[in-house]
Amino acid sequence: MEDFQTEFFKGLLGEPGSSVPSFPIVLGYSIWSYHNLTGIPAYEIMKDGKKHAAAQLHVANEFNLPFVIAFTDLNIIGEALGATLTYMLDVIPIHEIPAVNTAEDIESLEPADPYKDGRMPQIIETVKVYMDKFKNSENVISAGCEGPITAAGSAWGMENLMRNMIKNPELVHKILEKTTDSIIEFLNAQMEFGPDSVAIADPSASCTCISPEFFKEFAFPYYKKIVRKVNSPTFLIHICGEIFNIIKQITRIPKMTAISVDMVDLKDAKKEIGKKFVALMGNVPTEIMRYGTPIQVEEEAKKCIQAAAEGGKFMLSTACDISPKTPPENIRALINAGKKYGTFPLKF
Amino acid sequence: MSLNEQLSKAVIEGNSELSVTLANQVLNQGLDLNDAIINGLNEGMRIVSELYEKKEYFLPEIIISADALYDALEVFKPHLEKKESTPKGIVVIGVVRGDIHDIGKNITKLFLEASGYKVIDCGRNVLAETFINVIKENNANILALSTLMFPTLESIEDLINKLQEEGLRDQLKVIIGGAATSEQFADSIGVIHCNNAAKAVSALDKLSSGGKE
Repeated sequence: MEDFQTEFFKGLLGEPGSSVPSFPIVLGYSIWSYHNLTGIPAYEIMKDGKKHAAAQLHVANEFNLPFVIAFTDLNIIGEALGATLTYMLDVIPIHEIPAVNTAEDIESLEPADPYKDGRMPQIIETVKVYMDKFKNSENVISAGCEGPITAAGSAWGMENLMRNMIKNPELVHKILEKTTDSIIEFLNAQMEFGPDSVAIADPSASCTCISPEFFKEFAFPYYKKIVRKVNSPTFLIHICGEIFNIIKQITRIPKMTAISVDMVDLKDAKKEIGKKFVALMGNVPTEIMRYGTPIQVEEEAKKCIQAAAEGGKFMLSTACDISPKTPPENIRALINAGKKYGTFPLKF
Repeated sequence: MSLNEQLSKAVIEGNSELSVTLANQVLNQGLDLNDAIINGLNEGMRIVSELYEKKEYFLPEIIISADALYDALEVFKPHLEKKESTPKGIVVIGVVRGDIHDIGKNITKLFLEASGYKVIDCGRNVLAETFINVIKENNANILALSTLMFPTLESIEDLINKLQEEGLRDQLKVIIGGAATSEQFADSIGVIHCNNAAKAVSALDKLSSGGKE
């Protein structure tokens, strides 16, 4: 992606004749899909930057997606800090044992080294492959990783993290500083290859887990630090779960220009964002993608467009990462709905 | 305020120090421990589940309330008589294979125990075979499944099919919950969806009082 004259940006701006950008989130899905195609075990794909990139490129090619993202799971920082994961044959790995337990462990924890620790070098390699592949194309290439709260939950155990938000907030801030610094170094290492943006996924910061007040205390300052220190012109954040009550706070983070939403009324969310140039992305439910028919997907997509596409600043997508075994015809139904119902000026 | 009321309050506030002090007072005064558990600790947790439902409490608040409850129970444990009251139902609970997010499962277990169910916890990333064995061993009549991740919905489908094959499906009320689950998915496999831990209790209470699955 070289300039703002692409179909993607015209659609984002709501220019007449252009359409709402439409693409599902295909992170874990791409690992499953590539495993199915090639027979390569998922644990091997996850641990090899070239294969990891090939997985998402395969899906991007299959569906002609305008967007690729560097990461596919949310335990990269946790693992780099010392957490143990269980690697699977056909899907992304799952978290098993945290890296730290006691206050002393946290004190002596060093931020992760992006060129050495865990799978961080593989994700950097993934970005490099994307850049080589898409240098002169219209595709948007996004660096990225999980956010500080999710990373701290992976490093320390989610119950420990949440318990101590009340019992020992100082210690929580300490581990958040370490995860945040790890994230900053990691994202800057990815940005060296010149991707267009950064995507951060931080589901554990949602109001399904913590209150808006705790979001303000434990998430907001670290997001601000990330956007200040990471060398990217623009950031996208994905927080699944309930987020309506924190949208206002998110719009106050500089350079945070897109919010990928899960459980929220898009119309209300758009109103909450107001005049700021912050794009909404969402939110066709992933279970409809997996278990619904193409017609149901199209209906949901149409509802999303009706609720949020007027005036642009909207990307039609899924509420979260789509599930393995999501039927390809449902993915196509979502993508086609962008043109069918989301061509500007909108007609309803 | 009675000791029971104070115990409830300590649980609601997530104050472990206080709940332990109060538990020791209950012991020293020779009061009925089961009464203190049901009308003190569990009553506190029941109110916590209401506060969670009303979005006044979130996970951190529930976790410290659970800490206060369990810490007080530890004080009682060596002194509890094995006087088994009849539970409202026998629940086998677990996070299905492929997922390890167990906070929701733990909270559901807590709420169910607090409202009078006997709960057997299979843990996380549980194989279908494990669930089936535990259901058989305990003659359970309720199965509660949780997952936060979409890929593992397949594990739920797989488990339901295996329950049919084993001839266990008809004796069981099956509830599912967790961020990945939905009403639509639950309907498609013929089980009950609960969108949070508090709902699990009310749904099961309704069923055992004669409501239909």
